[in-house]
Amino acid sequence: MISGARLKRMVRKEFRQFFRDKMMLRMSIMIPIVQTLILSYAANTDAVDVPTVVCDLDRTQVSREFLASVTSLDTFDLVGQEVSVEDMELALDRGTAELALYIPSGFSRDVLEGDAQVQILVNGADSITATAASSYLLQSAAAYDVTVKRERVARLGLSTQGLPSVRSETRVFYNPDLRSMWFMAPGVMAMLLFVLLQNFAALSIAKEKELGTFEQMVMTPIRPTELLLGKLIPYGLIGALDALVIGTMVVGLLGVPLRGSVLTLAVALIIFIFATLGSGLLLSAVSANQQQAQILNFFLSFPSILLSGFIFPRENLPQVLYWVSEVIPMTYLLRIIRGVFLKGTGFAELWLPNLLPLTVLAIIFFTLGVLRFQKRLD
Amino acid sequence: MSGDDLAVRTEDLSKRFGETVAVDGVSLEIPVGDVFGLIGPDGAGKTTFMRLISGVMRADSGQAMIAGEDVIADPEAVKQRMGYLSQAFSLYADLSIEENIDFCGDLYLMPRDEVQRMKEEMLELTDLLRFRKRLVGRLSGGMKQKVGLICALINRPQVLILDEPTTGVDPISRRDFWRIISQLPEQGVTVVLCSPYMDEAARCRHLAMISRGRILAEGTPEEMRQKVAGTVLEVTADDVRAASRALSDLSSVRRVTPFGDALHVQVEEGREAVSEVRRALGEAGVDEDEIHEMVPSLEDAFMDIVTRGDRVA
Repeated sequence: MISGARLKRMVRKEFRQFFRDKMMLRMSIMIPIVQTLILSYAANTDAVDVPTVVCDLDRTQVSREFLASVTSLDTFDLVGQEVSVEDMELALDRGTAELALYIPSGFSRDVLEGDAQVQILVNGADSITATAASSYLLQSAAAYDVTVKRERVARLGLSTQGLPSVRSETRVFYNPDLRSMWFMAPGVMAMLLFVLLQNFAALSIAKEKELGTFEQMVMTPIRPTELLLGKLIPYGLIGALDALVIGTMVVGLLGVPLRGSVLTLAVALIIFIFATLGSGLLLSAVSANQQQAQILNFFLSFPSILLSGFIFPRENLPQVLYWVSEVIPMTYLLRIIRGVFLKGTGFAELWLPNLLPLTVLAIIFFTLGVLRFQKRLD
Repeated sequence: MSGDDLAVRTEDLSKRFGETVAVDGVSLEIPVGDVFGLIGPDGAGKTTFMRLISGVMRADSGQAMIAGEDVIADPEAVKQRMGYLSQAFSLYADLSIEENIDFCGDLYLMPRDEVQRMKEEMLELTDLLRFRKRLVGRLSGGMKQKVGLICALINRPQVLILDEPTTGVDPISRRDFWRIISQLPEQGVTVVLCSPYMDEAARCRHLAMISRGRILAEGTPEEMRQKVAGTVLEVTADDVRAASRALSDLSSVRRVTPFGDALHVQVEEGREAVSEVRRALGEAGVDEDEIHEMVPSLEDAFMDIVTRGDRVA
């Protein structure tokens, strides 16, 4: 039993306060726009111009050929070519280089004897970039290996035709250039919505409690559901508007392809908005003031973002944390949003594995929030 | 008194917070049209009692009826017919006076034209009409509390509950405030307030004195004054502090309370008390200007009742 008239007036009051609060306005419009740009470019894991030093103790024609062939990609930025072993280690220590290639003396002889070794040193402190760059280096070295063998065989006057070899060729679907922005930008959209809405919802009731207006409100005949919906509907609408703005930017400005249906995306976002407002409401209901709500929100937001697969693949998580990540709405939204944007995944394929669990979580969080909320002062 | 004539009735109402008993078996009957004051020191349990009878806090035991509704059984039933003004600031600072009042009317689903009419009338009466568009956050404490009172009355309640309504309010706003309250009984509205101030208590028709969660005395302000044991003498002296020292050890003196440049000295009944006081002051070398018997003030009554009550407990 909800009075539509009272709900309408409650919503109007919330909007009035919202638009009067310049800070809230800025937070909900400017921050998403600026953050989308910053995060999408910053959360870039592409390896380009990785500062690299080379310590070539062989200094022969062969070693220089090898170097030229493996470092020709623009992945590497050679900051030192013929440095000593000490300088190579120093460069890694100081961070002037992320990657070092060590060619021992006798390399050219070993190549001829068929058993040459080189060493790649990687700065593990920035593991994402370094790993990507070193894998490029390994690939190039393997290619050089094949080239050298073929040349040797040819020089012996034999045909290279029947030479046994396996070549694996990788083709990347959906994101052929492996542009990390394509992967990150839709995720950034999910994360911004989550941070903004959970914060709004967490503060909603806590703020009224802190200002004493909650005490006044519980003295009136307003029903708990009217109060809660009245507070959350405006935030939901603002969230939907933000989703539209961020989505338009991601496609229009950042050039990320939206291959799937806009409708599927919209449905997923609406369910996600519900789930997030529900979990925020739960935080608000258990908090006595805004500070408590904010600290709770702070401690719960980070795991949500980190465990959801926003940055790290969930498959690498320890089993317990993997289970935890299954009750995080972000986990499902990320899969949906990336699927819809890059793969064009349709509603039918998303429903059972992703949309349904998201809906269930939304219902659970919302119900818990409503149940935990008490229209009382004790 | 039959149940229909009662605006509020409680029976053995109790509430504890951990070890502390905030309200301890309170039974009160407040007739319709009364202005009832619950008077007691800070921490006596006044606010808790107000919250219990409003149904926003659950009692541990006991009964509470307000405007004929059982608050314990159905706390929401009475809210449409009840008004409440809390001690803490409880309006939206970022909304104007008018917007706050309108929103309160909305919460009770009051017809807009009626809210409009009452708003005009009460803003006029409280001298706030010219500030109607001002944000409540930019008002003085007294003005805020007057707006709060208008909000609490906007649903035309049968019972108005005021929790320390004029704490921290300037005298002029307090006068405006009471101008509205004193009109309410003739409209059939029952006012229940709590306050630590005696001048506010003096404006009530009935009082109950509460300390440590228990009602120690009940009655009209006049009856309260008569409850003071013995006689109260007003002693005016040049050196009030020396006089106070000289008198507080006398066996016939029950209490010495300073009031500005005078002392209220509560003594045992009888003529000889006056001469004993005079002699004690003479021995202490204090020049007394005047000693005369006085009608005990409410404050004397309050001090006497609370001290005696606490001694028993």
